Amino acid sequence: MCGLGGLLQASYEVLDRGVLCDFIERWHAETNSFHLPIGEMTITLDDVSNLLHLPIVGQFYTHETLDADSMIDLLVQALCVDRGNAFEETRYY
Amino acid sequence: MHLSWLRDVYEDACSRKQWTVAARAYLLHLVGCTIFIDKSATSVSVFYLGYFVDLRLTEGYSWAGAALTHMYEQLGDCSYANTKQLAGYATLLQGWIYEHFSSIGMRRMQPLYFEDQPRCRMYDAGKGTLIVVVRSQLDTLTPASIWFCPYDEHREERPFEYISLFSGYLRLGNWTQLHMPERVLHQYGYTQIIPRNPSVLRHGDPDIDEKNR
Repeated sequence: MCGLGGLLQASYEVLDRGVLCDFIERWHAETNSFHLPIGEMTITLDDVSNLLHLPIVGQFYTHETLDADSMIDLLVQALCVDRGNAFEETRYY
Repeated sequence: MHLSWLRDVYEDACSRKQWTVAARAYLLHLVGCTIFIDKSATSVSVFYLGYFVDLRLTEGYSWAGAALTHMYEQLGDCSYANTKQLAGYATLLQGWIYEHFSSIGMRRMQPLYFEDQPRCRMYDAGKGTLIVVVRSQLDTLTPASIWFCPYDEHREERPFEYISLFSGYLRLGNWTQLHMPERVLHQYGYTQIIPRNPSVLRHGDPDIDEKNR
């Protein structure tokens, strides 16, 4: 599964919005952490590895953003769809 | 592109026995529903298709780094825009909360969890908790009620990687986000020291060594 197998069984069907919202309120983007009465805590690479079984070691994805034509080219090549179809699907993005 | 469109591409490819195309569509759909989920929750950026053009390279990416960059980006958006809608992968945040804060919310333990499954699967959301209730639970947190290092039994499955102490920028396409383990040393079993100012651009290793243990 190319390192992505953990995602197959990870997602929760029910979310606890109250809990999520309260933590989001305490997020600070300058430090990328939650500021709590006991200090800062955050989601770390080690957390992601344990919670989702995704690999830490590897390359960063450094592709540049695509323009509209490159997006269509990519869809045609990689997914074997025709240009018209690809154009329709990408025109809103 | 729409996730529904991607499902159609997948089915077409399967019926034409174009297995590589089917695999690309399948994997892009999987990350589009999970770690790269966007605000609409019905579409995924074509941009991420680049991960799957050459499937031999797909395994070689830091998927944890990508998932975390996306998560930080979305959490940052929420905190700036003051919106309550989390666009990121809520399962990751919720699993993280359950893992570290046993007293918050109404988590339930899964009776059929095995240690070879992702740790998210160990929990299940109970009935929703009111925001005011969680707020008072959070305000009265004490260090004793927090599990800073909860993964001891899980290390056979996921050994600790020293590179996860990396302090610096994670990258996903044009997004860069700071990962700063030196700010949360408790989570690695160390005593917290006063961290550097986050505006100082970091090079090299964080100040994490044996003397702080």
